[in-house]
Amino acid sequence: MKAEWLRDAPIGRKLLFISLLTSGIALFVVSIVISARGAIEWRDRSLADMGIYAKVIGSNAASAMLFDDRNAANEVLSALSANPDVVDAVLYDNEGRVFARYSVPGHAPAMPFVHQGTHLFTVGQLIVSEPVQFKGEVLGALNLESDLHGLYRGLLRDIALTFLAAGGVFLLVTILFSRLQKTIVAPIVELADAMQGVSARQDYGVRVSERGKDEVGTLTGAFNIMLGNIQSRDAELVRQQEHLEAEVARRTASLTAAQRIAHLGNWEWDVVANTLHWSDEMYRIFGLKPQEFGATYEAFLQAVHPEDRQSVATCVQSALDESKPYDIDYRIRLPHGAERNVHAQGEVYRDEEGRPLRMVGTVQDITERKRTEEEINNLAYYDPLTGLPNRRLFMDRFRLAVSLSARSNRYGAVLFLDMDKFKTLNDTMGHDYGDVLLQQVAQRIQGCVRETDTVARFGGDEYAVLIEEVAKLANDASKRVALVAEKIRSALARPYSVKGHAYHGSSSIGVNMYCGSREDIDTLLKHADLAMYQAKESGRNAIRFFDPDMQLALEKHAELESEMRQAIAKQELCLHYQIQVGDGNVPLGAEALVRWQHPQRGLIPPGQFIPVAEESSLILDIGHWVMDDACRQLAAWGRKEDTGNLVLAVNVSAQQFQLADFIEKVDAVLREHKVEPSRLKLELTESVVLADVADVVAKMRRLKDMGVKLSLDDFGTGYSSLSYLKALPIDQIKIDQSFVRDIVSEPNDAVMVKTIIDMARNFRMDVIAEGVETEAQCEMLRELGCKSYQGYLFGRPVPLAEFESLFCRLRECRG
Amino acid sequence: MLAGVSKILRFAALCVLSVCIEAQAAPTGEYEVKAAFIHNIAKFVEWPAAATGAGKLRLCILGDDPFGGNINVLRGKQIGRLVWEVTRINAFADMKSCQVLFISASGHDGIGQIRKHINGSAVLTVGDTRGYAEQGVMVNFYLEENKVRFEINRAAAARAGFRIDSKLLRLGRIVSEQGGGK
Repeated sequence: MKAEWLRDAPIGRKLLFISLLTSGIALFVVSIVISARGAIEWRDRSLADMGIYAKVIGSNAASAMLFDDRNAANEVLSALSANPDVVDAVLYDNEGRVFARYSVPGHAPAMPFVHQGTHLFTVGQLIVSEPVQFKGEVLGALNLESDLHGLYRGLLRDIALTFLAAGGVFLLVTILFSRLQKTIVAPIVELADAMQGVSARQDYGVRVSERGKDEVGTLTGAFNIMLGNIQSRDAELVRQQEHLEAEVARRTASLTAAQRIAHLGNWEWDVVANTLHWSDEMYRIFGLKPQEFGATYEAFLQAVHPEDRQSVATCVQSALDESKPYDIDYRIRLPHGAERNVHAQGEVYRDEEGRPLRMVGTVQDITERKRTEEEINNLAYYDPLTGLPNRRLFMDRFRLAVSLSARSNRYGAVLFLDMDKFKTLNDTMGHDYGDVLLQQVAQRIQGCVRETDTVARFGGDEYAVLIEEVAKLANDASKRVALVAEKIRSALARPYSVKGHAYHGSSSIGVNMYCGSREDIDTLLKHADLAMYQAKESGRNAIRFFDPDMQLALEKHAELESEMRQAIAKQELCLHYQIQVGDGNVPLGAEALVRWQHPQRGLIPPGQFIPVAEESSLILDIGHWVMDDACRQLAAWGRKEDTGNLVLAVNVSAQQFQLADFIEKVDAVLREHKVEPSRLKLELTESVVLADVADVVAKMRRLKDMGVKLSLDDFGTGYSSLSYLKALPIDQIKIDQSFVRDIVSEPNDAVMVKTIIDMARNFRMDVIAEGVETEAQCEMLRELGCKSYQGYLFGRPVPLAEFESLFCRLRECRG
Repeated sequence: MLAGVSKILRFAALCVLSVCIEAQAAPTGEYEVKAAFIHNIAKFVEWPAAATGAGKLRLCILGDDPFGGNINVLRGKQIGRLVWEVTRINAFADMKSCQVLFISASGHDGIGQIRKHINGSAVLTVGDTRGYAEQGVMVNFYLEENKVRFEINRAAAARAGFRIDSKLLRLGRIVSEQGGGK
């Protein structure tokens, strides 16, 4: 307690205490020593004094004893009354008898006997015995008793004085020290205050004034240096801290942004305390606010979609129990009911004994990705327009169905169908219109088949239907499939209502039966396709089952195509010329018609190979060859006077016309053969015109500008609309032979022809009729206003030599 | 060996002697006291140097010898280096060689004579007769309450060249020559 007090006391008080204690003890000891020494001195002195007294008195009394004079002896002793301390004196003779005596009045006479030459100290008295001698002879002894109270009084006075002096010195020391200690303590106190202030206010800018060069001065100097160091380090620390905070803020912001961009949140689950910590993005993903979320595992499970809750809980449990990776996709249910797909991953942290402590992981919002994946999946397997399976999915199912049928031994069928003349509809009414129709077609087909059957759209207006597990017997199966096909056909033949317009369409359906896997699915499908073509060729709106003959035709077709490819190089193509005449059978020119002089099969008419050529780019090569050859012939005719004015008409296929450099090619050919452009007439079919009216018109105008004549072939057969006819810079309209054929017998056709001729006249176009075979037809046409003719009546298409002779004959006839 | 024996023997003799003295002194007689007094007084008196050159203190008894055997008290006693020698004399002629002269009562008729005779010599005169002191005897014994006391004639002593210790003076009755002293 005391030691504590001393320890906790201020240094000033401590110093004071120490100095006072030491000086107090020193003074006390010194006082005691002085007092003791005083006491001894007093004792010795009083002993000596008493001895001297005894000697003197004894000496004085000696003579009295010598002469046995007691009175004199008493008289001598009575002199002791001068000293009040002496209370008793007894003079003994040598026999020990009392010779004389002196005592102060009232003194008890009991002085103990003391042998001569000795002394006795008691508490209150000093007894001295001195021998009485005279000239060396001992006469007796004188015993003196001194009362010591006087001595004690003196002694006490001395001691009191000593202690008084010591007390004074102590006081002086106290005052002096308490003043002097300030020179030591004050700087320390100042230093201590400064230190306290520094630690209380954290103000390291404070400096303590240095006084002197003693230890405190050194300490102060060192303290100031230390403060300086701390201040600079502090500043450095603050700088570092700020830098770190800024860095942390930057990185946190960056991480938050990264999480937001990635839709990735992170979480930490304290398994022991069951507390969940979620990042901001986690709350965003879950559509929760921190204050709405319980932040426990159970609260989290509550947010999981009820159907996925069990699997999430199982996954978490196996991660905790069996260290299986926590990697799971699940759905969550947002507070307002929406759903999200998330991908979660996590790791478990364990203590040394393997008990799970924490689980840390991420949750990524993959809703968008899932949706995209589904879309991609749909795009990959479904037709976006109709929602039907696409070719890929169909082929998958078809493959499966074929192998199934091998096992079940039941027949199935694949139907291939397209809408008749759909392309024309699409071209004339626009794609939107066509798309709507395609959707309705899809619905109608689906309405005709079982749910288990597959309806697919292959693109354009091509559909495929897979009818599985129909029957074991081929006959039964064929009958049932025929029923289904008929059902589809009739359903598709019903009128449509597309965007408020009524439309009448029809379909051509090819059917191929399968059972087992004799053929691969591609072949099976191709044969269905073939059957469909057959149906189309049979006049459309029809159903055809695949048969091997059809396949044979197809093979021929392919053979033809390859032979045709070589025909150009082998110069097997040639031009035949059919004459075109004006009024009075005046030859105006001819239409150049291509013929294939096949080495084995002889002359092949264009109807047999041109459609095949049109299916590939061969038609371009043929077209170019025709153009070139026709121009060469024009050049040859141009060199003769008779034939110098003949105009040669050349058929241009749609593909050819659509070539970007078609004009340039025509120009190049004309220049090569130095042919007057106006002698070349290009016959364009309606299909050419219908492709892209604006582009076609532009091209036509350029051709017209060059001087080339343009003729619209097969007018009236297609969807030719009179409305846009006006916009076309055409020189001539060719009336199709189908109108001409029955013009005499069919009044409608005559009206039609009349209308065309009138219209052409209005547009200042020429009209030529083809397929004129009889005089009656010719007469009729002339009556209707037609001026030019072509047909067997005037001449068949013939080789050049025949044509030229026919031409000469006609001129001569005329001439 | 012989010396040791003689020492013992001497000590024994001394003892016997002292016992004898005590035995004689026990019935303290007047003259025994006076003899002791003479010895004591001599202790307080200082002789001129010349007077004691022989190393002896010669006590001369003039007249009838009152001491008898009592005077033997002095035998062997010393004062400083001086040894007592007791002589009885009747003639004046021997007086000057004495250091102490006891004048008994019988010798009373001739005090003046005696004084004249010894004048100038350092002889301490002692008596025990009333009036002697006044007549010029330097020390004169008397009895008081049965105790021996003495009177001192300082003038006479001073004349003879003695110096007497003040302590002795304090004990004795000082007497002047004419008329009696107190």
